[in-house]
Amino acid sequence: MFRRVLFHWSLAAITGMAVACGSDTSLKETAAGASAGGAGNGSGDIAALMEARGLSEADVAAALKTYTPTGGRDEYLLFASGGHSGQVLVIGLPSMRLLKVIAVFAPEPWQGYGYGDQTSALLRTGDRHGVELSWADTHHPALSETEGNYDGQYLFINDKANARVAVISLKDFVTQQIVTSPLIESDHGATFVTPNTEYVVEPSQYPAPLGGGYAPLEEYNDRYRGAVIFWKFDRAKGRIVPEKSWAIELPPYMQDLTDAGKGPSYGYVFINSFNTERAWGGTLEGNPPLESGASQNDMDYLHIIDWKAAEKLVAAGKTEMIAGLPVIRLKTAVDEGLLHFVGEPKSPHGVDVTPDGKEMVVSGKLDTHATVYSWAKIKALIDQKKFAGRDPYNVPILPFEESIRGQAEIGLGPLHTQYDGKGYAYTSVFLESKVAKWSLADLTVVQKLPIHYNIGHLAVAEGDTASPDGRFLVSMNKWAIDRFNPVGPLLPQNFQLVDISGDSMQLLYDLPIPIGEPHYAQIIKADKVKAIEVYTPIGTDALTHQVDPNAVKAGEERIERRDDGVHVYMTAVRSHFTPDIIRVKEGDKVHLHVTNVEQAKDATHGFAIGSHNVNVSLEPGEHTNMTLVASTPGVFPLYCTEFCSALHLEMAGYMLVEPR
Amino acid sequence: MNTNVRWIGPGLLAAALLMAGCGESTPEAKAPTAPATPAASAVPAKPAVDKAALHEEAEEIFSTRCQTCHGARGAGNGPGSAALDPKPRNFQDPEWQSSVNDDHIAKIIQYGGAAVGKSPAMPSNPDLSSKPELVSALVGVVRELGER
Repeated sequence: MFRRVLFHWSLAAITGMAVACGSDTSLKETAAGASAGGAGNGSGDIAALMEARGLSEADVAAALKTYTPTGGRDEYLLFASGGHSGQVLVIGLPSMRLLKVIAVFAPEPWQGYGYGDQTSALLRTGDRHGVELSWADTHHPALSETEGNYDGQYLFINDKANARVAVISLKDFVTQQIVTSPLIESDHGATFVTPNTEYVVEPSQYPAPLGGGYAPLEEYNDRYRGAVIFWKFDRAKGRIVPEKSWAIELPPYMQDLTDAGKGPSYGYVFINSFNTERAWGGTLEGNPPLESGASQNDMDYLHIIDWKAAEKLVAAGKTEMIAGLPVIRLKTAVDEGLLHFVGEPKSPHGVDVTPDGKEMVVSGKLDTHATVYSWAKIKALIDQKKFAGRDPYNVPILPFEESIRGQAEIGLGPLHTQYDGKGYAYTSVFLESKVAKWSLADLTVVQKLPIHYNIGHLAVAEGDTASPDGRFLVSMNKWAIDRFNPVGPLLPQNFQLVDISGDSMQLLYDLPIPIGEPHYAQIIKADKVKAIEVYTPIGTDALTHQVDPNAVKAGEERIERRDDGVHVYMTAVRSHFTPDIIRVKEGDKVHLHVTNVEQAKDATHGFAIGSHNVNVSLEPGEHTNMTLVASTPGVFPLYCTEFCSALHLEMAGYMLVEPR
Repeated sequence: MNTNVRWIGPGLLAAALLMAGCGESTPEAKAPTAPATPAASAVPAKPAVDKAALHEEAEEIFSTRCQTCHGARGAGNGPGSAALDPKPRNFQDPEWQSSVNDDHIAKIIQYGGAAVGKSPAMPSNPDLSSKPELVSALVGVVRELGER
């Protein structure tokens, strides 16, 4: 039976809608009337608009659930890794509007990140092996937590390619710190935090000799290793403290996603692994490709790590310094009972602790199930030392069947799971390109929703915390294929917003991501994040949140010529820099100290000098320090790069470099 | 299925609720981007499937997505096959052709080798899942390669 839906727009009651689910006759009559009135004239005859744009009833319902009028606020913020961009994306939900791209590991011109000021020095702290790195592959953002719930204070993000971790303050959405250790050469399961953000956890992915250096691949089993770094976080200072951080050596499997236990499983972290076959490729050397060699075993190993006990071992000094980090060697970890394995079906990806901390769900990419492990069973097996065997490195392996509560038949290629707090789990199903909603109680799928296409991770609102919100789910799809207008062979990824508030999931909206391939995201209630509007007091350094020693007050602008170069103390205010003329000699080192002395919201100025690769963003109240060498005689305009006022174009000056 | 419900009067309920109430319940939520039926226009008669056009489209898909590994004539010897282990299926193998039914091939085309316990190196083609007639045509192309 075919049925129609028809919408009249009531001018008298803007907030309401007269909706007719009527016959063809009433439809035609009203459609004719709508046509006479004219669509698209702002009065908004819905039926005519639907017809003109070819929209279905479901499309309009989806639009109503996402549309956010101008000035409206989003209920949630989604923090997504920016993939190859090396940055972090901030997206509002349900509008799916991109609110910010936080500069993290790569230079970003709009934020003046990496173009001559303190942020350039910050980026250099992320260099490895003496190489200046200007890109990253960001994978897994982790919001800081208090008792297993997001607290809205900090965000951590990893760089898989270069084994780095960054700390972002959510006070101003600015990167504060980058840490890296040559102990490992790559990471993937990072970053994840322990329930009170005691540690930011960074496991390696591709095994390599610990601490760097060369070892032949033929000695892979003996000289290549994985490791997991526990970066100690000082919440009050907003900094990771490398001196208080440590690591545990792991076998040369490929460690993957991680989650921290909470509630009854507090004190433990769980790390997936694949390639327990210890294959290392060699397609031109007579070996099968890595993907084949790594997919031979039916089971890989879920790593169960007692980080509370490890912390005590570190305090007791039962570690070895490698690459500047105290490392609990693998033998010690085994002898002291810190590390246990349990089998997990074929090439797993996500390990996701349930909100109550009682169970862990593991998805095997080459298995059709999500396996539900019971923490109580695992803990009892550990306490009883009831092992099914040991791996080649003597790590005890718990009996699989006795560790699980059961398995849910999900479909082809289950990948990653989150929760809605109402008893349902949501698992991404890569090969089928679907989201599966299933009941945790009876382990049965209740709905599968097609998405477009090749879903990787998914994120539910606060869905990996102790108290998920549900409401919305974002499917992070690797391929877009035919979803958007063609833009050449390189296509964006596709984020799809799904309403999960009702009994049945509804796909709402697509957001193309044309900046890199995001991997993971977390969704936090927007009102938990308390971002500042301006930097106060005036002269604040965004990297320290303290008044900079070189901050400039209005009326105290000056130019000082010292032994180490020319120091320019400058202020910016609509619509001029003071001073606006900088006179230096060829070869001078020029130190620019610039303060935006404004306190009006959004009154940001940019400061750039042509041909010197100097460009900074000065948010209201912010101070930055830049240094350049005036190596070429000439006349170089400087100007404000952020449209600030009616006389913005006049906010300019010159740097004059006089020949020697 | 009751569809003759008429909702009258603005502002009685939130618009979103009204529309949700009008919707047919479906076991799998339909993508809003699926071919839409304009509410105020007659539904065009479903066009007869042009089998020749479908076959042509399927051959185009084979040449762009499949032949890299399976080879232009489906012998499993395309340039991408060199490093694969196991090797891509040889569609010219009559023994294999007679051992599998069309549904099996269709499943692999849509969901990849891992879907049937074969090599996960055979990727899925998720955008074809919503085009069963095209998948059937592609199965036909695979079958034809076994007949040559």
